[in-house]
Amino acid sequence: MTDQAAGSASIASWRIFIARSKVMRHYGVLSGGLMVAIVLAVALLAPVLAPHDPYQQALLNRLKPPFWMTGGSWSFPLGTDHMGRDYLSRLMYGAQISILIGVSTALISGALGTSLGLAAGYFGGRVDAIIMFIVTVKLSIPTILVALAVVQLVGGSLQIVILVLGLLLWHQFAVVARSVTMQIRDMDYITSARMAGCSSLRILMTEILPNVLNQIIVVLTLTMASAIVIEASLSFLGVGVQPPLPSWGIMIAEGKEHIFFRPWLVMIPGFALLFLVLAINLLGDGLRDITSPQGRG
Amino acid sequence: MTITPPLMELRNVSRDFLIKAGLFGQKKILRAVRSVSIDIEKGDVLALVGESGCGKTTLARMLMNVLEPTSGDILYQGKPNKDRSAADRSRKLQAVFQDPYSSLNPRKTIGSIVSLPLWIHGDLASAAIRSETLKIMDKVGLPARVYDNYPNQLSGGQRQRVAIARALILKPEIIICDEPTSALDVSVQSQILNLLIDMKHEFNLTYVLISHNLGVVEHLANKVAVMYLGRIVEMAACEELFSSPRHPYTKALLASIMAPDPDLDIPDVDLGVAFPNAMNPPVGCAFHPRCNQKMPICTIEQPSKVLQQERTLECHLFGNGR
Repeated sequence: MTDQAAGSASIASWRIFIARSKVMRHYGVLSGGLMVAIVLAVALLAPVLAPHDPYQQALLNRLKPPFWMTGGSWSFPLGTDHMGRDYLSRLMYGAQISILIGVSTALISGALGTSLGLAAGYFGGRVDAIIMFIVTVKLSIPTILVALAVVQLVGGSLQIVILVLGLLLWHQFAVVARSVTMQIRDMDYITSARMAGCSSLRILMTEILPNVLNQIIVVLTLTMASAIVIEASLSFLGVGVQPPLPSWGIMIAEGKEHIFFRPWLVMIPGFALLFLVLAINLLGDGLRDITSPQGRG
Repeated sequence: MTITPPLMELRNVSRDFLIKAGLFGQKKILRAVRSVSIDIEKGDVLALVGESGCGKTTLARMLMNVLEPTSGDILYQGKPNKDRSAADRSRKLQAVFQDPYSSLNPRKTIGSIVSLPLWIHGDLASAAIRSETLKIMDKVGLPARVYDNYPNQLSGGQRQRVAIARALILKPEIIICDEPTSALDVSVQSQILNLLIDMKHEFNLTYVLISHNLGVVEHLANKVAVMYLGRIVEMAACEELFSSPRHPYTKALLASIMAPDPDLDIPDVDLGVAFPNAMNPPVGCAFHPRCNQKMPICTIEQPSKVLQQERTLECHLFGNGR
């Protein structure tokens, strides 16, 4: 017992050190985290960084090329779109929308899917059968079609897109939370909590949820990435975020008329999308490696 | 006989499980525990012994109130368990589990694990809970500095001390110990056993001890129940049972204790090799396929319970005034 003499404070700092060194040795987490941080900074600082108002139209300046092409200038570093709006500013404000959609969708579907998965895994039996049936139904619903229908009914807006995606992307959370809960359910510490008189809700929230959260965080990042891609697809189709908001999907959709003569109008927002989704996936994969007991790193 | 009822009483307690093999498989009934009756008096250390799969753990889980008996009653001071509130049940009865690695939540600190029952039951303020928790941790030999540590920072023996502290903190009457030492290093086992004995004297506890380590049983118990395929085949005071076992299964079980002498071979217990199958128990006495004193009646009729000088037996060798 005496070799445990190191105080709890030093043990805590030792744990942080281990966690940090794992992060530092994992290039996926490192590069993914750095890339996400860049996009996040650009999105948050868009009002400061953006050279122009993203909504200000100037028909005299329309369809200017980026600075590295002949006819390009530094006053519009990435050129302008068909309405003469500054492309770099729109890209920066577009990052705000993508991140807002990604985070809030992941949080809504995470809360929904995790609670369903916890209930299915913990109670089992009939509850499990019903919830897994709902998951199966959910998996057979085409996301884009539902979004189309909803937008037809209530009209598209940022809030509607977030809500629709939040209600459509929860199944991974449910499946992961369910399987982890089923592993934990029969542990002796759950029996012990029940013997202490804990209610089912309390057991779920204080005994099981903290043990599930590890895996949920990984799913959270992956869902965030797919929400961002789906939002761009919906906006491209015209059923997502509505113009004039500078969503990357809308920018691609508006640029597609000029794809043969001014391909950068599509490539620039496309590259931004690729960069952000790649960053989030790298981070998510890396987090899974680090948090799993038999993982690399 | 006194009029006061025993502290805990099991009356013909049985538990079945429905087992379904595959999607179209037939439902089968596994009779894990079959009509068990035991009286547990205050201060007893009742040991349940028997081989793996004999129903010890099912019986223990029924005592712990996490499993309902299929039939029969469990009474506490004469009051049926189903008439008691959940809070009352958990105040009076707690458990220490076999594996201190799965019985402590890896995400919670030692302090919050030990104090959890107080948060649920007591109306104590958080400062009082903390001091109460530290007091009980001190009693079981845990230093106060582990209060904010996590279970993975403790050794197996320390973890089991945490489990014991958690069981004691509500000052229960009965503690169910499900193989409390079998997951521990040999060097630590005796420490934990001595701790259990000390706590019994200090808090005036009653134990139900589940073990297949007969050495531990002889050391701790005052009453032993031998289980075979869900039934209690012999139950007697500890010294009685160890000095003069009657049931052929008990005899074999005691003969199987290995002497700590490397020159001796594995003891020959002179038993048949039929594997006891609870899904399809033998007709008549469940033990007859392995018994070395089998009689014709054993394959036909289930032996009834016989009381011989404070000892209960279920065996045809001792039935009908033999």
